[in-house]
This record gives sequence, structure tokens and C-alpha cells, in this order.
Amino acid sequence: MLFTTAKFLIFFPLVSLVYFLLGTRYKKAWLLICSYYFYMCWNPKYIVLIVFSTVVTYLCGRLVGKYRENGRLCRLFVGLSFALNLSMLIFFKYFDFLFVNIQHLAGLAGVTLVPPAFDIVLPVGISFFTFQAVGYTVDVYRNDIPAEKSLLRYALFVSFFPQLVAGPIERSGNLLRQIQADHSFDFDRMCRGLQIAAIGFFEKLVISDRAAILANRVFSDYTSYSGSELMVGAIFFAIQIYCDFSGYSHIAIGTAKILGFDLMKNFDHPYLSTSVKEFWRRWHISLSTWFRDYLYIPLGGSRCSKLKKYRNILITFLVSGLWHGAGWKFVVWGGLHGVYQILEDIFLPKIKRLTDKTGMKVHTGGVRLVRMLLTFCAVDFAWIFFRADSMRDAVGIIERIFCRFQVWNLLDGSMFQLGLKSTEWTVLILGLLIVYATYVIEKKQSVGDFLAKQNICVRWIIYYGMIFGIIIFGIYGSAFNVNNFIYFQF
Amino acid sequence: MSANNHQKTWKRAAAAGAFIAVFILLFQLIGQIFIFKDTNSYNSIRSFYKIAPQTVDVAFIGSCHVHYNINPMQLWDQDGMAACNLTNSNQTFEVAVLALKECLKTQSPRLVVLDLLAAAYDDTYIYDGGIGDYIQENMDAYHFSLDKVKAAFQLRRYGNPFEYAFGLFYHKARYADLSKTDFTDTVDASTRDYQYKPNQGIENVVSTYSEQAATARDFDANEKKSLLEFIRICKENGIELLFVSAPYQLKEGEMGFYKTCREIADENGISFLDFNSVEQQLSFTPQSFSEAYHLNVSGVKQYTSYLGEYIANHYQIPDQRENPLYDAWRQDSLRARQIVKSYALHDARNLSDFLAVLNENRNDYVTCVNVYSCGIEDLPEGDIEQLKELGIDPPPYLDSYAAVIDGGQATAEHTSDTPAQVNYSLGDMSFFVKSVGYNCWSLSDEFSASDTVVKISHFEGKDDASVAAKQSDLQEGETDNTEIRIPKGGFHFVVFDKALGKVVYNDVWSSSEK
Repeated sequence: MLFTTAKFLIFFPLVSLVYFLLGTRYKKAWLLICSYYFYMCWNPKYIVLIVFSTVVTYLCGRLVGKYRENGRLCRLFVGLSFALNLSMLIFFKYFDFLFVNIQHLAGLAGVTLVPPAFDIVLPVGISFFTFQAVGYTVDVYRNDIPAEKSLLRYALFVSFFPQLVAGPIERSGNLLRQIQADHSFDFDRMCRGLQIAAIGFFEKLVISDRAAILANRVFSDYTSYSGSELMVGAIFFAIQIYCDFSGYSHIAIGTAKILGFDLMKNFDHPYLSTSVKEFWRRWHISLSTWFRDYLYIPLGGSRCSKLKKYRNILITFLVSGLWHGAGWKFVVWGGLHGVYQILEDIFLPKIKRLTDKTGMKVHTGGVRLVRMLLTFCAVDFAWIFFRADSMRDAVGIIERIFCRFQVWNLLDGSMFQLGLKSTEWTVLILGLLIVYATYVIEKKQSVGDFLAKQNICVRWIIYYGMIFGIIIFGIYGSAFNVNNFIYFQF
Repeated sequence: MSANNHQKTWKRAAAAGAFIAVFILLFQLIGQIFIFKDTNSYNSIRSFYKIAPQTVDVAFIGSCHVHYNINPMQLWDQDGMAACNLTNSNQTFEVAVLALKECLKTQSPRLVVLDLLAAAYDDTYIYDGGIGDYIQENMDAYHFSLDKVKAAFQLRRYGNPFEYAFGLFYHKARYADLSKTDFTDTVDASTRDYQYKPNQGIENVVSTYSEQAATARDFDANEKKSLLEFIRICKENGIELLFVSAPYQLKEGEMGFYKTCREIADENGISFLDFNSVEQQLSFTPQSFSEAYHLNVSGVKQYTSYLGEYIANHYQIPDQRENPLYDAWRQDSLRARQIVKSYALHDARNLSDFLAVLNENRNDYVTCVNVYSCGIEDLPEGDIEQLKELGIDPPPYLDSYAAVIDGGQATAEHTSDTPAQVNYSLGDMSFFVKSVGYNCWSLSDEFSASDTVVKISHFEGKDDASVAAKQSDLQEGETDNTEIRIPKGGFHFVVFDKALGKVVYNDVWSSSEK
């Protein structure tokens, strides 16, 4: 079930109510049942996959804990955990992609391969829970956390419903420790959780789904639009994907907080970054740190020659691209980000030396703004590959943006013919300003702390403004189809 | 728990409760602003809510076959019957049950008359459109209640039950289109007149009398279940129930549904007046119909009269005309009669008939007339005479002409190449009419045909000086309560009913529409 449906809005309060009424010994079992029910709402049969992943990584963790002195055996168990989970992931997610490419190659060699008779449906969230589970076995191997003895607690760690289908990808050191603890009802924590979740609903329903209307229209029929219109479409997709994913994460973090769990922050206003490297410190933090800790660093990280470091960056981002989707366009997207970071690593120090020599001021607001805009342009350029229906479409869109750019389209009202009227643009811009306002607040304190300091009337006005803003300006209901969260496809 | 913690907990619980209560209140208020109000369902049901409690003796429940066909105020005039319509367009029996429950919250009718059109909704109409399009409009008409929520979920096969229960979720996208009327409550009890249908006429009424051999045909299971619940509620509350099926052009096979209804009625000891069966044959001819499904003004009169007589002869419904509690009903009756009289203006097929009606009732109306691109050249002599009888001295083609006629006395101005305008006041009503004829606007950029306008103002409670000042303001073109632009070339008539205090006719007769 989606977070932004009535079903979830009934499900979650019921789950929470029973959770806090139950005694300590039954709380975890109740959450596990609810988490499995939550997942089975997507497809009941695929619960087998979560259970499989849970049992495999639980056993591997226990075995690693038991045979810790035997390093080779431990590596075997970790390898087994990786192999089984990634095999499952590869089968469900990449089988069609691999087959099509092999078929193409075989065709070049004159061999015809017949496609299989069965269809493989991608299980929701498989990329997330497999990564979370195998990450645990590595953590146990590295002795960052002792092996979890309780299958119940471990199963809950893998399947905890707020973050099950689209992250954040939690670390065992954070979430498993919290699962081991007891949680009783706390009013302040509930308020904070609701505030965070409300921000998430606002981002998803008011901003992301609104931006999606324009982005989808433009990307689905790009040959009908000028370069400037496609550029605006690309910008709107950047807004859409950020607010969609950030919104989901906020809802996940908020609902987990109500239940007493603190999930990791997953987004930190990434479009305000002044470099691509910084962007990846702020975007999908749980995934980028996972790749850093479980792929980049084991490859050697940056503690090696420059060439090897760049190789490691490229591999990490290519794999990251592939993680996002079974398609060459995702690989190109990831590769672009790798190339960006390599270029930054090469040129930024040179630029710094130059500015130091010339005494040029670089820490001004103007320079920062320029750097932000350049970073955003680079990131948004890569998003074109991410969003386009194919590589060919992506190239076609880029060609039109650069070669068929009509600047007057930006001023002659054409922008209001792309699916959003002027009032919708106004709502979107106001929504982005509200998101920016949360960034300004969060520079000094959390939004919760800021609200707690306000007079009760001001707080309530903000709360009612937010709630009715979501109800009135949200894109949902029979006039719209509920837009799935983008990252569910991963 | 310490006393402090206890106190803190209670404070928080109270704050949470207050927050939720204020939210519910705001939600209802904002929802009321957003829901679309210009619908038959809204007018019918919301005006019912405004009727004084415990005054309704007969409630007519049903679809457009009630609100277009039955005039409750005629029953008041005829038999002193305190009757009202609780109707929704394409009302299903689920919604009929809701209407009944809402009715019983404030009224204790002795008799409920249920029109059975919902039995004839076939699968195609129910599931492939038709009904589903109206459910939202129907549900929006009702105040929020647990009964409404229950009905919303019963209707979930048509759409989103949360939108049905809470109209704000459906209408929220209207935020860019809200206007002043969304923020005002324009419905009162007197709005519960029957809905007029213009006399478009039909060529024949397909006789269903030939279907007397039709076998009973079961109708939708959900509808049947709700119909039985409707019957049960009436029995539990000691309310007499009468089924009717209004006359209309039945489709092939529909009679079978009414046969089943007959069986249900017989099983439950309920009378059923099926005006499409040979037993209930009345003189409904094509001249009684507006179009295939609804009656025109004379058909409504006939149908309502028959129903009234039947009810008076078979049920103990008191005559409330001398009851002092029914003063408001007497006022409503006068108003309703005036409204029905004005329908004759809309039913006129040609300018002659229209002018004849206007002349006949000249003392009831203030008539505003303006023209552009029209004159007397193409009019027959008879029409010219009628215009003169009304007080209009019709202008030659292409001139400007503005007039206000009250009881046969005209205040008019006729010009050639400048605009003509007239100002007239009647009590605290002010009328301003301006005409910019072809000769005027074609010769000068200073004038435009679209400046041809009628403005009507109501300055309630103002003294003579401020009314005069306001009239002066009007002459300078200030916007007003009612401002009507002429939609096309011709003689533009705006007829203001003095008793009703509102415009009852606004249309153009071009000289080609003789």
C-alpha cells in the first residue's frame, strides 16, 4: 500500500495504537506481522523473498559470529550471503535486461535466442531490503555489531515497514540496536514524527506530483516540444524526483519516529550543493554511504593511486546507476556522475590554486550561487538520461535542448500550456519556498525544535496551514491517479 | 504517575482534542465553500434542511422524475398539503435511503412518496456511466453525518467513498475557480420550487401499454436491497409509503422492472401508482412532455393534481392552510405561483407568444429592453402592434434603443448615432439600460456593441439620497449587483418580477426568429 492512500492512513494509526497497548514481549511480533502484511499488500507471493533474504542473512550472521576466529570461513559466509541475495536481486531485476543484451549479442553472431515464456515482475523494494540485509552480514563480519540472536528482532530489522520498500537503507548499528530496545508512547515524539511526516506528504502530494504532470507530458512526447520546453521539463523532473523521494523518506522517518525509532536522514537539500561530490553527500545519503562503505572502500577507496581512485569512483557510480534500473540509460546516468566527480577532483584543486594566487574572493554568496547553479545543471543534465524512456530519447532530448532552444517560449505563456496553468505554477513555487524555509530553519535547529518554541496559536496556524495545504493542493483523488513513488521501481 | 505528569497528560489530551475539534470544524467550513452548489440536488436537499422542523406532512423522494414533475406548492394551493421534494439527479435507492434518514431527523412526515425510477437503472447505465457521474453531486447535497458516511461506502462501486463522504476531497481542485457565490449561502426554504423544464416537445409517447404482457424482471441487487431497507425504515417509523412511477418514454424492457416493483409493493402492502401502466392511464400526450423523460408545465400541473387528489382521498393528510405555524408556507406558495407564471415566458415559441404573455402580465414585471443590429423592418405587423401595446416604440434598423417598461408605461430613449440609455427606479430598485446600436458603434471607436447592457441594483435599507447617488454612479458605468450583457443581435428582454424581486427572463429575440 502506498503511504499517500487512505488505506495507509487507516493502517498506520491502528498499528500504532495496538503497538503501544501491547506488552513489551509482543510489540516486536506485532510490528513484524504488520510489516509482512504491508509488504503482502503489494504482492502476497513475494513475501517469500523477504523471508528468504532474512533467513539467509540471519544464518550467515550467526555463523560469522560463531566462527569469528576462522577468517576464511567468515568470508565464505559473507560471500554466500552476498551471492544468494544478489542472485535473487539479479534474477528479478536484471534477467530481462541481461537476456535482451545477450540476445542482441547472439544475434550479431547469427544465433537466435528464444525469450522465456514467463514474465518476471519486479518485487517492490527488493533493491532496498537485499542491500540492508547483506550490509548486516558485512557489519557482523567487521565486528561493528554482534550477530543478532533473535530471529524475530532480525526479521523486523529487514522488513520494518516504514522503510521497507524505498528506504532509507538502514544500518544494523542504528536500527537493530533500536529494535532491541523497548519503546513506550511519547507525546512529544509523536508530535515530531507527525511534523516530519506532514512535510513528507506535502513534498510528495503538493510538489512532486504536481511537477510530474509537466515532466511526464514533456518527456512522453519530446519531439513535440521546443528545447526551452524540454529544459523546463528536465528541471521539473529534478523537482519531481527530489520531492518524491525526499517526501517518501520524510514519511518513513516520521512514522518510524512515532513508533519510537529514529531512522537516518536520507536527504539534506541536495540541490543547494556547490559540487557533485557534495551533492552525493546530500542525496540519498543511505544509499551513497552504503556504496561507500560496502563497495568503494573495499575496492580501495581513495587510499591508493589517483588512477585507481578514479577507477573506484567510476565502478561505484556505474554500479549505483545499474542499481537504479535495469537499463543502459541508468548506467550512463551513473557513469556521468562518476565522470563529474573525477573532473572535479582533477580541476577543482587547480581552480582553487588559481583563485588563491589571484586573491579572488570565492566564499561570497554570488560565487556560491553560481556554483550551485552549475552543479544543478550538471545533475539535471544527467537526470535526462534517468528519466527518458530510452537512450535514444535521452540523446534526442539533449539535442533539442541545445539546438532548438527558443528563449521566447519562456516568456510568451507557452510554459502554461505544458499541463500546468499559471495558478499551478504559483502553488508549485510557493511549495518550493516552503521546502526552502525548512532548509533555512534546519541550519540552526530541527523543524520540531523551531515549532516547539512558537506560541501555541502560531503552531496551530502552521499545522492547519500544512494540513489544509496538503488536502487542497495535493494531487490525489479521482481526478488524478495516485502517482507511485518513483523509487518503488527499484 | 506523579500529579504533575497526570496534569500534563490531561492538558495534552485536552489540547489534542481541541485541535481535532477545530480541524473538523474548519474541514466542514472549507468543504462547504468548495463543493459545487449550482446543481438540482443541492438546491433540493439544502432547501429542505431550511424548512421549519416538524412541518412537512408529505415527502416526495426520488430522482429528476420528482423535481421536474411534481410541484409541492401546487399541492399546498390545492389541498393545503405541506409537501416537499427531497430529490437528487439520477438518485439511486441507496441515496433515497439517505434522503429518508435525513428527512426523519427534522421532520415526521405522515406519508412518503417514492418514485421508482432507480429500479429501471440497467447494468449499462449503472456501471458504464450515467449514475456514477451524479453520485458526487448527490452526496454533496447532504450534510455530513454517519448516515452519509455509511451511504458513501455503500456507493463505493461507483467511485471513491471518501470523496462521497467528504466533498472537499473531490472538489479541492476548484481553488483557482472559487467565486463570491461559493462563499455565500443562496439556498433557503423557499428555493424548493419544482425545477422547470422548457417545453421542447416530443413527437410521440411510445406506448408502454403494449407491454402489459412483460414479465417481471429483477433489478440490480444493491438497489433492491436498499429499496427493502427504505420500506423497513418507513414501517419502523409508522410512516405510510406510496410508490409512484412518473410518466416518461420507457425503453424496451423497462416495464419488467416495474412489474417486480409491483410484486414488492404487493408483498409489503404498499400502493403503487404506475403512470406508465394501462391501469394508470391518464391523458398524458406528447403535449404534456418537455422531452422524453420529463413533463412540461402543463404536464406537471396535471400530474401533481392527480397525485394530490389521490393522496387526499387515500391518506389522512391535514389541510394546513389555516395553521398559524405555516405562515412561511403561505409566503412560499405565493412565490411559487409567481415563478410558475414566469415559465410561460420561457415556453413561448415565438416573439408573438412571448409578447402576448408579457402583455398579459405587464403589471407584474419591469421589462428592460435594448437592441443592437435589430429593428422593426423584418417584423410582422402583429408583432409591431404587440410591441407598441407593451409600450415599446420599436426603432428602425441599426439605431440605438433602450427602454424600461413598468405596467405598460415606458421610459425610453431612441437615438441614431449615439448610445441610448435610460434610468428608472422603483422603490429601492434601480434599473439602467444602455443600447449601442450599429450606427453608433460602427461609426466611432468610442463605442462598442458590448457596451449594450442592463444593470439592476437593489439598495435595501438605503435612503433616497444614497439611492440617487448610486443611480448617478450607475450612469458612470460602475459595476452592480446584476449586470447583463446582450449575448447576440436582436431585441434583448430582461424581465424583472416585482413580487419575486429577481430577473425571471433574460434572452434575445432576433428579428429573424419571428
